[in-house]
Amino acid sequence: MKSQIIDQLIISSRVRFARNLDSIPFKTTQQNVFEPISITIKQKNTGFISCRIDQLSDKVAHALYEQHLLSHNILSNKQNGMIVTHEDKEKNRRTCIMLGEEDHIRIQVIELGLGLNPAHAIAKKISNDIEKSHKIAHTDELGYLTSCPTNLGTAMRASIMMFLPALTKTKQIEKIINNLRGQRITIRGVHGEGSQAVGYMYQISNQACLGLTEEQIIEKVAEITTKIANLEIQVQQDIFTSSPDEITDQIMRSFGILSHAHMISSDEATEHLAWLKLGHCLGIIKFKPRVLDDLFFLIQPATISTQNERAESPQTRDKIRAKKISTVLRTSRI
Amino acid sequence: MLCELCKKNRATIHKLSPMHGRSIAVCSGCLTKPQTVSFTVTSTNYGIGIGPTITSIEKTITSFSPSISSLHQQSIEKNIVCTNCAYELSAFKKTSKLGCSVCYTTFKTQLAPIIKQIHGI
Repeated sequence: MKSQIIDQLIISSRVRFARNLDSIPFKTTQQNVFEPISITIKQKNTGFISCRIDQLSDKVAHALYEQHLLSHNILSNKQNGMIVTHEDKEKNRRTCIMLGEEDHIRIQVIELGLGLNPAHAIAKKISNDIEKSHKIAHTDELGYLTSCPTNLGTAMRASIMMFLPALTKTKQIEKIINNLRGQRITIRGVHGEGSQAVGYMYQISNQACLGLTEEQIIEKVAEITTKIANLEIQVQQDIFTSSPDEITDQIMRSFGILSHAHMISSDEATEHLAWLKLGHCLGIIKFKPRVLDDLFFLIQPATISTQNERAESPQTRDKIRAKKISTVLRTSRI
Repeated sequence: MLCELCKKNRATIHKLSPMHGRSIAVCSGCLTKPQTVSFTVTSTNYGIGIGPTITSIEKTITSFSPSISSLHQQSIEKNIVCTNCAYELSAFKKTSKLGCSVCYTTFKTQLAPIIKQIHGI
């Protein structure tokens, strides 16, 4: 039962590798410099597709940014930036390799739920594929050489996206953030720095990459994640035990608004979705697995615009968003 | 030219000296030792009785010293340029980013304490 609740708190796992071509300036503007890497990835991995950044429409680019698949850095590189992607729907896995980011190569694999190990295995394979055909900057002393010295060593970032409403509302998250600083682990709001997180979503990741093996980093991030999840469950139960009626009322009000609103902004919808997800974790109201997690991303402005040609104005998007949420909630409630 | 303060070592840098009221030529050792100079001068020439003035002179020198030495240091390091990508160390100080993988060899001495601080090893 407890492991099921932990599963509900962990939205996704992500492993990211940074790699650079030896001796080539990190901010190279050379045309077609990344084409050979894109070809290598596609030759050795089936189902991968590539695209130049200047070929992406602004709408699609913004939607991919909202879904945390592309960074601001890569989107601004219209000179030679590229992406190579793959989606494994069966395994709920997205792979997105950014070429021409702050580092030449950023391999990132995202799994739904707790899945750092499988994400790491895929990222490692792609990294090995590239290293067999291209000379990558690396020294025995510093590991992989990166644009920013903070990424030296394994150049790996393992991160978990978590839903932590109770720790946020009781302000305990601030203590956790401070305590983790000494352990070389960072926790930050998904949509911004600091403790203010939209939708109570946080990203927990390793701070340093040098001096630890990839496996040790993964183990440490997973261990901290489990500890935080257990704490969140405990605080959720405490809050509910102390004021069950108030909590239930707020959750059902959020359900009412999301089910019946004619227009709703992404900020308001996110806040109510967070209450609904808390209700789901507490067992007050149940939905099919992952439905609420998907909604957090599907209701973002650019994502709605890419799915609806009419959704150009904020008002139209608010109407489409309200309809989408009410439809999903109606059909996915258990 | 000999250092105007210790008169022993070769002077490599000019620094503004409130004590002398002008720019003086000093060696790298004396660049960071302004207090010693002021003590020597004040204790020899003034003696007891004008303590506050001596203290204020010392403070003035101390407050000037770090910024001057850091400016001199920066101007020296500014000339360090990566042989592969022509990236300057001064650019790293502004952006915390390097120019290419060879920069790690070019700026090895300057980067060592920063890397130690970031990664704790």
